[in-house]
Amino acid sequence: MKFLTTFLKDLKLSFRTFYIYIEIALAVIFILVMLFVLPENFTTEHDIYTLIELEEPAYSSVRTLFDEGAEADRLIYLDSREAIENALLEDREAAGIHVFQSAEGRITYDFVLQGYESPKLVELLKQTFIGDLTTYMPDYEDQVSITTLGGAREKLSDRLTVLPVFLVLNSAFTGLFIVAAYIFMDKDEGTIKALTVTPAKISDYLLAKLGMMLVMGMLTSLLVTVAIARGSAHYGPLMIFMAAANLFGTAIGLLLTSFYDDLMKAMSSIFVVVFVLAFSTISYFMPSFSPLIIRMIPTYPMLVSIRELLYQQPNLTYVYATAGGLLAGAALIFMLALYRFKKTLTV
Amino acid sequence: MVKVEGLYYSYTNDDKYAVKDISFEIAEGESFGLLGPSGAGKSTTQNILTGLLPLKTGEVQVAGYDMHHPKREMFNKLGVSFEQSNVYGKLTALENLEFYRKLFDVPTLDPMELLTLVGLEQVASKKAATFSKGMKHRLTFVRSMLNQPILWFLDEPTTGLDPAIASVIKDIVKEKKERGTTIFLTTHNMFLADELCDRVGFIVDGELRLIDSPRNLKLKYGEKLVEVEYVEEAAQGDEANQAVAAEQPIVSDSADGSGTGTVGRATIGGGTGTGAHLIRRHFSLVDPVEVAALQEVLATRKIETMHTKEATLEEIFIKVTGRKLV
Repeated sequence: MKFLTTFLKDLKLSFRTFYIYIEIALAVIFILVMLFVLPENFTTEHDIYTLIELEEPAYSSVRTLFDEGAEADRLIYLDSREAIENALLEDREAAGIHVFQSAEGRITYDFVLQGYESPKLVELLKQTFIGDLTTYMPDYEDQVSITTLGGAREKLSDRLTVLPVFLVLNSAFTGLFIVAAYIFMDKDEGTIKALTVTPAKISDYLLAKLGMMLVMGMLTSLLVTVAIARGSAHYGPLMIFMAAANLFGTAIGLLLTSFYDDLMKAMSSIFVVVFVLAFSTISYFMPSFSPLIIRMIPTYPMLVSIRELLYQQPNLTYVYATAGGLLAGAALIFMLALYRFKKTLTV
Repeated sequence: MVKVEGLYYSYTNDDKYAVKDISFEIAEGESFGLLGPSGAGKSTTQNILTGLLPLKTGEVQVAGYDMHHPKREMFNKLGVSFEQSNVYGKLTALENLEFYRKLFDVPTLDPMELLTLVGLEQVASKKAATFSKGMKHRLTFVRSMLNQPILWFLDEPTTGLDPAIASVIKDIVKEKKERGTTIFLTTHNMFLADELCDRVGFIVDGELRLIDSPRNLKLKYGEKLVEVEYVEEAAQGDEANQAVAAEQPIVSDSADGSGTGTVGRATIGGGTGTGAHLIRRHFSLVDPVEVAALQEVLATRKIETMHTKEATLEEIFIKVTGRKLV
């Protein structure tokens, strides 16, 4: 009952301060950027400016070869070498190819590049092109087979792939950032002292803060997920997972706050913790670089779990196991924070 | 109601004690004032009694609870009014009281009635952040009454308030005292303590120097004085006397040590030459010379006013501790 009273008071106070509106504004900005500024997939394909200076029938053969190739939709035909070079000046991502007949009568393929490409990339480009050409040779047989160990996994759009990062760093860790601000506001006003001389327990006070952060986190995560993922997210498990992640984040925030008596001092520690937690995004975006130490950062399984819940067939066992671990961690950290607050809250 | 025995407290966990070897008891229904200058240890003592600071050394019982193991339910019996206002600025006055009343497990007073009691009913629905310092102080004060405490801690309850409001606060405290509420007052305002307390304790440098009732302290340490105002005709041609009379207003001060106790005079009627002067003198009822002087004045002068004057608690505090209440 006292927890509920304190929680409702904190909720009322949170809507009368600007922190919650900052959270909502951040969520809205993220939605707007994702929907209206960035494309659904951040393409890595580049335009290829092409010039074929050959006589018939060589011209038609090469043109057919190009038009049937994998990069056909990226080819832009131009009518002079100078035009290719000018186009490359305008588009620094693009490459060019100039096909002409050499003095010896051979068909020559001249790649026109920007100059910043590494020798490895240039060689790769060259070999790929040669490889493509060989497939047109009579009696060609493909001797290469590919085996994927991880099993065939559906591919999320880039927009959906980014979504878990926002959900973890903003919604799950709302409490990590903001709970300190609320507690130091109570300390400044002296209202913590007034609360301490009532029958309400310190645990009621801290649980109310946990609850308030949970509401804020769930609100922003739901808002962003609905806007970005629409029907492709598994909302039930996602909300359960986000609740566990949010409680974990706020518990860390409470523990950090218990060591300080002013917001400025606490912020330096909070930034260090956030910086460390954000490291996991490297491995999330580059699975080839995922050393154990990064996978042990709690945000890594959080990111992977949320991504799972955006797949059509999520691995719910992994998700719920992670959520369970986060809840256990949250409970442990909360107990530590409670111990610290009991010792230091009013002194 | 309160029992303190051999209380020591150090903020730094060493032998630099904020309070040392303090012992006292407060009976049920008694009004006790802990008096001392800033930094004397008043707030530290009160904070230990209210559980805001942990009890380290000594024995303290508050409302039947051992403060080595305080229980949350004890706060149903306690009320604490803080010197510094501490209310939620983003909540209205009424919301502040409504929130706190729900935290108690005992019947509480109606918040609106409490606001009316201290003249805040007109601003009940305004956010406390918009209040003046005095208004916030009144809100903090009535909040401590919500649970009808049997033991009421008041920390400088009238400091910073205008006289009219301070008078209202004093009347409320007096009324609660009459109804049997035990009061623990910490203040450096000796007049307030004198008015409200059955007993007072003088605390200086963390040590409790003296405990007694204000009356006993005055009887024991105060000098009995009589203040007399009488008219004295100035002699003709006494220019020096007339000049003094024209310049000096009546002033209140202690005896000048000359034995006459004359401390002020004023010309009556504003005239010059042979004008009458109003003289105010203090006579000690202990000193036989002054008693004789008083008798002479009573016999030969026209007495305007006369009343006994006791030493103030502040004067006694200075006499006992050698320290001023600043």
